Amino acid sequence: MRPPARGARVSAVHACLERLGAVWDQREGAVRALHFGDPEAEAAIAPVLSLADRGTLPRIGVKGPDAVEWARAQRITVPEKIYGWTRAAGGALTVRVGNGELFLEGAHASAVSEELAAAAPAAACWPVRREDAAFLLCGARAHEVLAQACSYDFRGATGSFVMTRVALVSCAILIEEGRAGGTEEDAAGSPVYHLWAAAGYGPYLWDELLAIVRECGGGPVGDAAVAAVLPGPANGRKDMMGT
Amino acid sequence: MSSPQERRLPPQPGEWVDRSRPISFRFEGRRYRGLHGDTVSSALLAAGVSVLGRSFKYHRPRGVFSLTGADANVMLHGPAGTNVRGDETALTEGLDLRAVNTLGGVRRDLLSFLGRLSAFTPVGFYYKALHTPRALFPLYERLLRRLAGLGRVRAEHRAPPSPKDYAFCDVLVVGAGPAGVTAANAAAACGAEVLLAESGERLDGCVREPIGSGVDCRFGTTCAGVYADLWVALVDGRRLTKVRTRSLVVAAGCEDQPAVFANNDLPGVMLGEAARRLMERYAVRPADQPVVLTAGSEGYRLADAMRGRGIGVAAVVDLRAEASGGMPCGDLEAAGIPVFNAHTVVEAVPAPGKAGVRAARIRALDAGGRPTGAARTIDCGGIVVCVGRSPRDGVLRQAGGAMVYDERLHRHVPDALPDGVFAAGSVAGADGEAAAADGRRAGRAAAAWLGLVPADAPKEPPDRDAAESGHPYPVFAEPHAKAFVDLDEDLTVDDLAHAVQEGYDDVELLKRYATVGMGPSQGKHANLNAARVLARLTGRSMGDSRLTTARPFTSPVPMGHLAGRGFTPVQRTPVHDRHERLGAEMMYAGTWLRPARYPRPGLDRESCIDAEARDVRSRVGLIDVGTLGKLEISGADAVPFLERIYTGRFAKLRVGMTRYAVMCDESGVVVDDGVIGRLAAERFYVSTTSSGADQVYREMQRWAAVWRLDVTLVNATGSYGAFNIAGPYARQVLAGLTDVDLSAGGFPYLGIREGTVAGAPARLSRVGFVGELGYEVHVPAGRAAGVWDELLRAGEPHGIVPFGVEAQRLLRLEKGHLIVSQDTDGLTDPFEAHLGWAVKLDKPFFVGKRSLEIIAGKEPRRRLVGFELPPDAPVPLENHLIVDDSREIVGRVTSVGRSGAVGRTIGLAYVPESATAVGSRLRVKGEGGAIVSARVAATPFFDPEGVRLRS
Repeated sequence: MRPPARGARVSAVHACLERLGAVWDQREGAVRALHFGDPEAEAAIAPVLSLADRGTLPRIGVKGPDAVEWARAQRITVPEKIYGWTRAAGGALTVRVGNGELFLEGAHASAVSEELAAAAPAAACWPVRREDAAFLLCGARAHEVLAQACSYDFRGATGSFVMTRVALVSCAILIEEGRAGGTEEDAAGSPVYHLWAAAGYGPYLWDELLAIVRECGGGPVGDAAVAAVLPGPANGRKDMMGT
Repeated sequence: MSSPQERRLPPQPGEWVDRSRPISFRFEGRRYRGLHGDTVSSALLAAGVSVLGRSFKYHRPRGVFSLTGADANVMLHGPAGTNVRGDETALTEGLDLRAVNTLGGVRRDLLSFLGRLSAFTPVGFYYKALHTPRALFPLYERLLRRLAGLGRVRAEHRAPPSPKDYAFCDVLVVGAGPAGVTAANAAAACGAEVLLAESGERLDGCVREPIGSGVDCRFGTTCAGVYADLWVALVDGRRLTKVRTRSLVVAAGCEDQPAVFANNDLPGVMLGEAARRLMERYAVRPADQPVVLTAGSEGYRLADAMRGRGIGVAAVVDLRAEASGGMPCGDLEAAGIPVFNAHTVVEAVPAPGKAGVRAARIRALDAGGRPTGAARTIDCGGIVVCVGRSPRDGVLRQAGGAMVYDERLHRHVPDALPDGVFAAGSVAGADGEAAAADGRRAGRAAAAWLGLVPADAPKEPPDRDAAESGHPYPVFAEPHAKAFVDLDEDLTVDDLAHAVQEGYDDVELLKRYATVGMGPSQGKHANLNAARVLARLTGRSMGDSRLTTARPFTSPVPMGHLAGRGFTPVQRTPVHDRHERLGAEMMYAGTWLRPARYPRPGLDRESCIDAEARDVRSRVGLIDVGTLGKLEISGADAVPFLERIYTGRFAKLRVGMTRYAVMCDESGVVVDDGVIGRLAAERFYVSTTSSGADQVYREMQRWAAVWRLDVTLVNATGSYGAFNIAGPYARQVLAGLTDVDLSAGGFPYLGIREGTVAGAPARLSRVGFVGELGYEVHVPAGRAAGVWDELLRAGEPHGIVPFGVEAQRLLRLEKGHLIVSQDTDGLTDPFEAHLGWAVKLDKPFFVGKRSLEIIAGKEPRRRLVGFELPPDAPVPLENHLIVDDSREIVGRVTSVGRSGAVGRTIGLAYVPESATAVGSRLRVKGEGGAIVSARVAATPFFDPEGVRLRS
């Protein structure tokens, strides 16, 4: 296992992943868990029930009265409705969190950061550093985990972006339809739940979710297995991976 | 080994037992054999064992009573657990159980003499007799717990964790009887997602409609409670399942009710449902030559069913003057079974050792339903009671349903039900053949309420004409023997009468004083008769009587099921694992975990804190302050916003500088403090206390909306890691890692700069909380661990040490700096905490200004002062009290510590205004009430000129 290089950006749950024996991958200054020692087993479990860390994906917030106008000027597609979201062909995610607040995750977030810093305050919008704890909960049984962690039935909520509490921690959840699987029950693709929470709660949330995931027959997976369940064409996932 | 066939009937149609699978088990140390499909109780009864338990208070022998799991007669314990109910516990190979609450075993319980002392132990005796002397309370408690009670908790027993489960459905149907199944099927047919919960292990023989494929049926599952928004607790053998349902149909049926007569608790006296279940499910003869006491047709049907199985029936005793409609009276009489109309059983005559029933004494009833005339004795081996039923309405009432007493049926029926809640079958007053139809109605009504089909069904059952009525007052106490109303608590009619005489004449008062309905059965067999007795004693009608409040759980739930997964959120800083590697002892600060100190070999806690503080003063230290709240405030109105939120003035704060800020609430109480740094003309970086960030941010959002100011707020607390590097060598350590000019002129005290540290983008500010040259370094959370490592590496040549919160608190105490919430409380205003200098009352407005103007015009009641103790004085603790000469409380210690730098024990305390002068003597009431003499001292205790932090 190669340790992360000095100065590399790590996720809020880096230590948790390290304890699980993560095999690291480092790209563009960010460290992520590629797998936990058995990529094949992870690939098999990913569409059933799995938890993955997404903490080092590039992400940024844009906040201020002119945030939407400014983002559109940067050719970012901004949803009309609050809690609406768009996924660009390359995988870049844009969520409208409020009237004057956007959340961006993916390759475009890195670019926006510098442009926005230069634009404020003339544009009356400011960059918001987002070092969230970010997880991906995948698989046909993922809704069972969320039922235990936030007492809500997410079945049928595919396509939604919601603010809720998971294990008593304020979280944002986006539910996407995952890649169609080979099994009959997974023909339409199991939902993929993206979770974001304050970084400080990251280790707690990871441990709690992983305990429930394991209880339900799932386990942790690295980026290698995640790629197989994320929506969209394989070559369109590059931006989502932040590469 | 006892013969397994002693009371086993020949094979019965639809029986639940599998005669090809015998099961061996132990009860009270003796081996028995039952059959697969038996419960413990049915297997023991089949084996000829009639005494299965002892009662709670008098240790009277008890046997099978209801066989529904609703009574507490057969409570057992063993390796499988404690308070196991034999009536509903499936027999498994190797079970080894004993009755609870016995001394010497269930057959010869040495505590059975307590029954003879009942005249001296009436209801409430312990309230009156065991209150003095107080010193004997522990003895009384131990004695009572030993003599009366249930199973003993086995503290050494460790059950595996019981996970909670969650389920969601459109319609939850409780009970899979004839009404429940049809309700579930009807709702499912309308397109509803239906969950059907049935406490039994399979469908009863009276259910004729199969469960449809669209229904998720869970057997062995009890509905234990209903909560707000139709959250329902389902309990099975393994776990608690929290169900969120959109609609609830309760089809839980009815519970047979007992008659109250002398010795009505003997083994062999049982309810009709128990007799029927024994015969039909377990093929067990309920009793030899039983007397059937009835108030309706069910007793006749049961007698006929027993006769049909070759069980001799001694007599049928009918409380009514004449049987009505379709009863097999003729068949019974033709078979030589006498029928006594307008009669009642007044006493069960006990067999030797009270192990069963030897005979029934019956008397005629007068027109008012009271026993009259001479008693007649009928030899019998048991008494089967069918005098009425009561709805299992606990779930319905917890859901908000109201019940009303039906004077014709002599039981409660639903009166008003909340939206989305429906009752079906006998719980709603629709018995027998009407139940299935009523279930269909309720199921469709639930679907209609959900909008799945048009609403075409009325919510109430059309009529209850077919329902069988019970007896209005099946209470026939005889003066010479105990007649029990509540078998759980050994409460007799006399006990209730005494309680009413003492003034406990309301159902809720009676419940609490006499404990009626408070046993494991929760009054399922006691509440109705207790209400009848109470109504008669107080001259009220049942229609005017109330029911006690129904609360979860409707039946006992294993503690292990409740102790499932719980969530206690905790926050960790980005360098938490670094602290762990350094062996830090952690402590909570709000929801955060912080290092209290880093233990050093050979040093105790106090020495360790002292060493860390000394290293900061003499060399350099590094502390994780990532828990501080970090807010970004931007916009054209950022300055006026801050000036309204905080008590200070910030309009003239220069870009690149910081200023201490105090936040008050509208009553002028200090609620938070922090540092405001100006990054640009319209952009500020604001720190808050560690535990106050979320609350301050919410309050700011609220005010921003109220004031309609052009301001953008961001809570960046979790996005940044933060460290304070402090000490004489702080500048040297940091210099090699940053591109920021650290010179005293380029970066003065209270300055704030943006640059990089160890390659990471960083905000640096010069702070003085611990009274040394110090820099707060804020970096993105994802880079924080790396920066921490680099700072420690760069500090090695200078002897850098990590220091914890306890050393930090000592260092700031030496400087006389207060901590909001430790040195302030819910009433502290800025003036008494010496923060008046940060309050600018000449500003047009800020939160709390009006209150502070009033407070400023008054003489302060107390002030925060520094104090010091003589070198050898015992050290008081935080929150120890300051007292005057007459030991009246006049203040309290808020902070205290032994300072190596000052050479004394120092602290902060609130004292009366009269005692604030330096040199004033304070009396601190320390550990054990000892008075410690302290002296008011000037603050700061250390480096009063602030030379070190400005260096």
